[in-house]
Amino acid sequence: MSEPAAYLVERVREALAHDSRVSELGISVTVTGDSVMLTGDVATPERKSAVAEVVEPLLEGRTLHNAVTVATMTEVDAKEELA
Amino acid sequence: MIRVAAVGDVHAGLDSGGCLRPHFEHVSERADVLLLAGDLTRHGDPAEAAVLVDELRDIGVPTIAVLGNHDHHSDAADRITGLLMDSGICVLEGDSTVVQVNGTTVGVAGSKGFGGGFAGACATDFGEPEMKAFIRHSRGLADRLGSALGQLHTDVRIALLHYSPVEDTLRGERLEIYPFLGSYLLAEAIDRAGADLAVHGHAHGGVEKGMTPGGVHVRNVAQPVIKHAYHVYCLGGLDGPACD
Repeated sequence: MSEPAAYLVERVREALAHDSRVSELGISVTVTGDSVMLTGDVATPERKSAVAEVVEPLLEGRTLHNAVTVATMTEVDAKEELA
Repeated sequence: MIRVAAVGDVHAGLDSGGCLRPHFEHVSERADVLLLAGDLTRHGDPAEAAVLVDELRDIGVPTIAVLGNHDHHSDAADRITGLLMDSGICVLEGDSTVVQVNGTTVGVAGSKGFGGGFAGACATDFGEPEMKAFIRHSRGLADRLGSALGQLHTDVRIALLHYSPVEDTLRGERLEIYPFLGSYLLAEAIDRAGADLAVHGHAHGGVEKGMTPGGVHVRNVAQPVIKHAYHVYCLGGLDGPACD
């Protein structure tokens, strides 16, 4: 029997926090049936790939959907005036 | 007007060399001061802080920072602070600094801040030593922030934080983690001392704009929230150019 989803979610979150290839606390993990979806932001495409490398060995045959996005860092286009 | 550029959670890594500088090298054309709201590094490795120092070298505006939780992860916060200070970046923790802009004085009081939650659902200094230590850490930082703000007699006063002082800017984050994202004690300290603006990071899934119960503008400048290299906030000074 595979691990209950709730425990798997936390094992994945712990790995994402503690594995130095990632060190991300803000990635959401959702387990639905045989699928594991990751959402959130990382700074570079390499860090998104590292997320998958860290998580895939933990999934016990489940399918990974790495929906993590690479955060944009565009030029400033607005100012806000505060009274 | 005083133009304040602010961003948090840049999470510089050993792979960040050359990535940040293009976004910051012209900041002096757009802002008078740059605030960094913590989580300057990925793992709290001083080598990562050195990368950030190189990326921000000679950008032409006073740069003021607080550390975040990531910057403490390798138990090298003092070394990171030293590296940044040696490069000219002012790092605040329970203290303040003043910069002059076109004859207007801008005071910035800073603290990492900490968690504990928000009014009506806040953790209490009660029970196990670990629980008491958690809340006392949060309260101690908030008290020192308030004291530092209160001692500023500048034309503009800003509170610089990593953790959030309000719930407003956490909307979008899961309610269950609010106690790990900030503390109302920070807002209470800011409201007692008074400020024109409070900025923070940490809440990557939150929103940018909020306000303390006392009416101080709060802005969550976590980079994944603002999705720019920084945002610029214009605050009323005495005289000087308009915010254009």
